[in-house]
Amino acid sequence: MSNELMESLARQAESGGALYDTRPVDDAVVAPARRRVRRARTMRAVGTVGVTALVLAGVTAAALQWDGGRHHVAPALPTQDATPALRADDLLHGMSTRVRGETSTAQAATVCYLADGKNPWVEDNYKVSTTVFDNCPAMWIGTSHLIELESTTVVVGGGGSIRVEYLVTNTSSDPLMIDPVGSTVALLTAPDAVVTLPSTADGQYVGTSLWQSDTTRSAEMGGDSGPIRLEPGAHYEGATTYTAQVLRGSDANDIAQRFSAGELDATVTVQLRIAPDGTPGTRELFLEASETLAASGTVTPSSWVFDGLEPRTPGETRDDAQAALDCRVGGDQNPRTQEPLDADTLGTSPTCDAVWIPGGKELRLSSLDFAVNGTSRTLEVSWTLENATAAALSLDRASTALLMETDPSTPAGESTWFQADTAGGVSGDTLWQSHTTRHGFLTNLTAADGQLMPGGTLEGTHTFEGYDAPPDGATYSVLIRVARDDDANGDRELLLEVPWEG
Amino acid sequence: MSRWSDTLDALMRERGRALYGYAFVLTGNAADADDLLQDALVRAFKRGKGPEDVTAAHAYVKRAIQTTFIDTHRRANVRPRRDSREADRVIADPTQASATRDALLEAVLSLPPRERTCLVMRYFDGLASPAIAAELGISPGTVRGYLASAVETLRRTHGDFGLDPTDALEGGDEHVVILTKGGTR
Repeated sequence: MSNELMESLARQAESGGALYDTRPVDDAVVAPARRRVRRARTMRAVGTVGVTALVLAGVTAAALQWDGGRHHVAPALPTQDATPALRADDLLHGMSTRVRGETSTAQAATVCYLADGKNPWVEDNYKVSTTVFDNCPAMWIGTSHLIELESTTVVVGGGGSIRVEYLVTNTSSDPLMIDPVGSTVALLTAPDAVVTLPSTADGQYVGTSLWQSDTTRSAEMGGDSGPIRLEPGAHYEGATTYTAQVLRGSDANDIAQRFSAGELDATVTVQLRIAPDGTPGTRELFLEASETLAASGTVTPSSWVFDGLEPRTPGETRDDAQAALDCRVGGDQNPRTQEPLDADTLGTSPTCDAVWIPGGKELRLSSLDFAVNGTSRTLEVSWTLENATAAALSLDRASTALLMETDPSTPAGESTWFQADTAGGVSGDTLWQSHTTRHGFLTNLTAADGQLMPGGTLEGTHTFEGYDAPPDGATYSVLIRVARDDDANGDRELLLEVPWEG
Repeated sequence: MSRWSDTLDALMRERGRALYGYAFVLTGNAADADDLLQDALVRAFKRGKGPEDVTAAHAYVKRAIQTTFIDTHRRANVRPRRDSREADRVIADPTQASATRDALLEAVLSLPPRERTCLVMRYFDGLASPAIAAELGISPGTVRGYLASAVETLRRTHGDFGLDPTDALEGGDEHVVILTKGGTR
């Protein structure tokens, strides 16, 4: 029967191959897979930090460049190593309770216990990202450190952002199967204090401390994951940027200024996830390493264009002011000013403060036209901006974006999806991320050498994929960057937001 | 175009037929094979830089087909169903080779996902149980358990066609696997 079974299976494979030759497998399999990969990569970027690098979507061709996420890591490639790497299950022995303030030569850790079926890292193709915050027991493991944090730097950006870079070294004598992508880096001001709940943003903490009680610590689980093998003595590099928006929303909202003034030392704590053996189960292990140091860099005064901005909230309208977005991204996270990367076109969709610029409307959308291609299921939206003032406006005509909100009644922060592409198409149910913040758009493309004269117009087009018609009830607005005298400084950008009111 | 997209194109151009055939072996119908291959491609390419080249991508996607097939059924909460059929239902004359192959295939497709996957890896890929275990991230003992159960079901439903249960559990090539986890080989 073995031969018959083998022959039967081989014939079945050949039948499948014949089907492949005759069926439109590209349409049924490859094209949808490609769309899902793009969406997953987009959402991964969205889900990992306040500043978002974008994947191309649809017609736009560009490479993913991601520098704002949790860590720079190699993909989880298969290995053929002879020595088994230690996984979480190998380390969850001989643990002892760790008490706040206690010191030890053992490895500090946090162990989270989850109900069966509740581990957010269990693979699910249809679930892009779920994050669970928990209060988990603090533990000691073994008798010596397994990891150490080294070469940490904390740099305050001129716009009030904070950049943290570090190395995590495997100081044990065994290879470790670590998951840097699923880990968290915390920027703390009083790491031995007890707090009720630290401020968090995917993969980042900023706040006072991780201690929730004398024996429990905060930990974040879920989102992306990418286990890699870390050999003894080897290290991986991590970097993350806390944007000014993230910092302002934390319980350490003046942290950049205090670091800048030398009033505080920074403590960086990495909670390094150790990969489980097989499917994630009811326990998650995080090894912890910390370093306390003085931050460098200072917050610099901003351009006059940012003076006098007033907060804007969802649904608010004003005739005496221009809607805008104030994006404090940090120059190293701004595609226009960051170090050149290996891609022609880069885009990010950072979280920006929604603001008003008092003094009346500066721009208006004089036309918005749709063209649908039913075959390719693409929606092409063309727009025309017009200078509504009596003065010339200094604008960056290459730095524009079209925002499409398909269900604008969705409460802020509850959009079920989000997509952005490097060509400047940004869409979701709503693009309000909170009552005061919205998705913006920044690009490395720039053309700020001219002015838009009174009555002058500027035209643009964007194509959204996957639409047979303009979505019912959708709203649209165009973003355009304000060119400044200090354009070399990319810490902060002001984007005029011009809604379609037709 | 980004590198992962180029690799995906090259993979489907060079190996698409074989991968689709493999998905078809596991699922037994075109619609499910479509879905399985699509899911496997997403798993393989959605993170990081993606596979470096066609060979690596082939290995990734093939493994993703195996694990996705198991996981998809687990997500769908499909419990393994025991086959209660008896051998008297099967083809009486084993010399009717074509009919036997069809019946065998039907029986294979009636196996629970883990057993089916292990059986396909044993008799289509020609892997030994330790190699299957390494691919699927489970223990060799567990694989042997699945194989034993699968073989027992096939023998019960199709009679003894000279199947050697020992060969099923102990045979196969241990040197084919290129993916390992923790040195289980």
